[in-house]
Amino acid sequence: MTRYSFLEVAKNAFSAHKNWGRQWRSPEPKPAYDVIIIGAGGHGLATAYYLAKVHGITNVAVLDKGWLGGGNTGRNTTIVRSNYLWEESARLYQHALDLWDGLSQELNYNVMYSQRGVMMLAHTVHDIQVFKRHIHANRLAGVTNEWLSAEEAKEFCPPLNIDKNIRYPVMGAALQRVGGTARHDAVAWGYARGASAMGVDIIQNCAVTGIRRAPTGEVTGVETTRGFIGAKKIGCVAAGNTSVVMAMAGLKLPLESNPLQALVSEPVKPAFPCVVMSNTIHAYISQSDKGELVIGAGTDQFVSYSQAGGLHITTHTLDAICELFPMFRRMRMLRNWGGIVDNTPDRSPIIGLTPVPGLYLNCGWGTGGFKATPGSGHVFAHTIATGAPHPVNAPFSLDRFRTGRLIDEAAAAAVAH
Amino acid sequence: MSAHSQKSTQSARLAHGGRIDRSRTLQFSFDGKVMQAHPGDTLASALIANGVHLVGRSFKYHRPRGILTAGSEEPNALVGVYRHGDQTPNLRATQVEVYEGLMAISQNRYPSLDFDVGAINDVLSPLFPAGFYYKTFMWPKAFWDKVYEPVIRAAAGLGKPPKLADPDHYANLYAHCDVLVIGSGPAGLAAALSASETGARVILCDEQAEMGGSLLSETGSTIEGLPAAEWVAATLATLAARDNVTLLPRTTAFGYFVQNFIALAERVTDHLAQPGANLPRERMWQVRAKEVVIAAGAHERPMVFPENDRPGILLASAGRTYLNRYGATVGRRVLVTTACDSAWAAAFDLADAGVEVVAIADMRATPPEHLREAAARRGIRVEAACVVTGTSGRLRVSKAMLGRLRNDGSVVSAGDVTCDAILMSSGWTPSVSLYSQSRGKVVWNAEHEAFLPGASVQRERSAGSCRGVNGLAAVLEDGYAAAANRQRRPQPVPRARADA
Amino acid sequence: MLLISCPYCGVERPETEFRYGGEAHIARPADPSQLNDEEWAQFLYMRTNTRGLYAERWRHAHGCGRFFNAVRDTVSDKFVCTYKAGEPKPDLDALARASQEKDAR
Repeated sequence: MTRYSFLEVAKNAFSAHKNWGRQWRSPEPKPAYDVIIIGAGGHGLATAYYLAKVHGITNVAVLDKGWLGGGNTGRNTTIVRSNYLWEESARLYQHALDLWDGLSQELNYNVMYSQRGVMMLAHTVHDIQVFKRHIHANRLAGVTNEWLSAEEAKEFCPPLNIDKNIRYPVMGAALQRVGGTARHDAVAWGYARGASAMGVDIIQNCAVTGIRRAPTGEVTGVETTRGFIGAKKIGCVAAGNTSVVMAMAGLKLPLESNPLQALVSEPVKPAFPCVVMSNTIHAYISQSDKGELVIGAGTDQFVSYSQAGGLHITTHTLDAICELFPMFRRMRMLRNWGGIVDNTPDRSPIIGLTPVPGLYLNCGWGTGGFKATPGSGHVFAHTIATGAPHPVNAPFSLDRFRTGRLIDEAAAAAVAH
Repeated sequence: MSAHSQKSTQSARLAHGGRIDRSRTLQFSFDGKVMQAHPGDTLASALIANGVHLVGRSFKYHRPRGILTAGSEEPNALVGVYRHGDQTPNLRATQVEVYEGLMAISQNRYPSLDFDVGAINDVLSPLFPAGFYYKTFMWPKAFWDKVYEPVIRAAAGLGKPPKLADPDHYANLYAHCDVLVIGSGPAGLAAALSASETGARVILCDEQAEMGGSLLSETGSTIEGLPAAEWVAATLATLAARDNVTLLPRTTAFGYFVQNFIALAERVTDHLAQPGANLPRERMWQVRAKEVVIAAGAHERPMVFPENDRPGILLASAGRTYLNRYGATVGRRVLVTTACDSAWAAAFDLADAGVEVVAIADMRATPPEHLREAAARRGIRVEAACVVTGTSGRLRVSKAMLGRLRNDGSVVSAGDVTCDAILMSSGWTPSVSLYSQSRGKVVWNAEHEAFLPGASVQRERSAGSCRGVNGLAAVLEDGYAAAANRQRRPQPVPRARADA
Repeated sequence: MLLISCPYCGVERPETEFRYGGEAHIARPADPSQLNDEEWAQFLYMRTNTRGLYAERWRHAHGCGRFFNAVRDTVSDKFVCTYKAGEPKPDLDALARASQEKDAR
């Protein structure tokens, strides 16, 4: 794998950049692998990367029905943070945050991880109580989070409108200074390049159409649009399409796939220094390094795989943005799109074993998967490699819906459902 | 700024022609320089009439950029316009309508448009290829947050964000109709006529201030014996007189949602010098239509050659539009480079208006005979199997290098031509965006060498050049047909004829 | 914004008048205390979440207030039919086949 650096870019300038090697291979699928990962999004590619890097398991294929990173990984609003409520979540998201730190260097790929701060706004007395509780819980769990007054919030984010006479005035905010953003596409590409260099085969345009099982019940491989591929271990990381894939193994899951929309504005010079999220008025916003305001909305209320949503959802979000940041009202939106988010009843993911031997599951990240990408991949690789969950993902089992040990993070998810 | 300095800045405005109101003169400024224009001008047409082509700098390399088109597809002429003491960034000069006292500025340049230090990126461009930032800025680690990212962010972005709270208010309304026709060119006008004849409720919208689309730039065609522009006026009068028709100019259809829910954005006051305080700046129309006719037209494609992005290099149809709609010439020595027929009409119209067309360089080995004869009648030099291989002129194109295509595909030099404008066209791409938003799948058509709308998924139908129908007569018939076969009582629809 | 036909009101109304009710035809167990944890979890949480024709519930919250059912294609978001609570679940496979034949024509 060619080491990327400024020197390398400069050297390639002499050949007009025509001699760069491909960032990942596109091989024909082999008849069988040790592990198949279904879904070449950020989490799936990270899983493959850590299988190879940490566990020395390189005979791995990552399959995707489309192009890698083309699902939710390519559609999210790039927010990274770890300020969830429960201890189990704190461990999971903080694990990810620890891996984000230094990820560019680990992958030798600039994922543009920017710790510019994530500020969650409180607009009601209830909000204040909830966020202060979160802050205390976070600090007990070793996660950084602090309370700001409305004036302090405005100091941290000057464009913020803290006028008391708007419909939902800002009464304060919870700030995670170490939170921020990362370039979503770069994360997928960085993991893909790293995994491919270690021998992982990434097979795009390869849809899984069936999961084959032996008479004794364990998986033996997958049927795909490019033929049967054998494997004793299969990890399903298919996000919004998880129910579709797992139904092929006869499993029904606690998931509902909803549309989630996002938009970007026209690019302007630097105007917005951090990430701001508001549960109550259903909007979150940051500014990409290209200058575009990146804005996310709440989910549409029904099950849909359309990757589209209603205009009323985005106008509701933009109304909120315009009230909070009045100078942005004249800015035009450039692009609007949707993804498919798989929501669990407690808004926490499912990472672990399934009743089907050899079939592992990583799903249910709903509206908040991107921030956990490195952590999710790392613990899921451990789960597949050892056949048992890592301590960090052990609480996030499918079984918790039977035992009742739910991990309710609806508030921390911070996106309207 | 008195009336007697009327034409003193408009060096490229021709004495006659165009649909602008020459009886009144307006003053506007661009980057502080005061110039004249007429009611009906866009900022782009006014700049061209004043001989100004350099209007911006490219995003990354800060290359000097000029007006490329005459429509909403404009990529270069992005300007900020001042109003209420603040500027609205990234507006396309081709869509900004000039009013008395308009103040516009260029973007993404420091200290000025002519001399921009950012152009160092162009010199260093081999070090900054696409996506170079993924391959570098990783060491030392702490520098990303503190050094690299702030510099990248400062360099990125085009216009400056507004600073003040927006003083304007906006309106939202819901509307229902039987037929929504999107686009008021020939196909859209025909569809609106046909649909509204039976009393069906019709909404006809167009993103431009004046309805008529491509017909407004037509010179040779007649429809039902009338010159195209007159037919447009007569048709609009007919439609306006029908109670069941709502005409919405300055209205962009920007979103096609499920079950024929279409979102329209109507610009209400941006073109007014003194907008009334009671008027909303824009209205969003959320329309539920029983049927939709998409008559969105087609976009012209540029010719691909090195340095094809200099100021003064435009699409051929844009050159024709600036001449026929706005009475402005893109230059005094115009080269036309093309691979299709339509650009020849631009050459002929310019020549007929007294502008020197230095040559028509057609990539095809044997351009159609009737076009060559028409060129010869006008004394225009024609070069077949000929392409542009490069240009010079940093702030305004000044020369084009020509090349001859040999049978084996190689290119040999065919000399240089001095020119101050180049009009280019490599064909037309149907506008399938709204159709795609309706969730239909486009289909590759080998004959048209373009993606065309496939099967309809919603109750919609494309008409005219946006579905690959070309030629005025065919487009008009297609428009009539699009609205006619919708389970309404059959009516004998008057057929339109078009010459040329 | 979806347009939904309420089978009680007899009119098509915009989506904002309704609240989604999740998957349809999930019968509440007659005697919950007889179920084990696994069965109870199935009832409470497990859903088919179909990519394709899906039988789901809606409530006309800002209209008649009643629950009703619908079959909708979750890929195109097109409604196939709506029907009153208590009416039998349509044969989704047959509906899917019929709509494929219609598209092919």
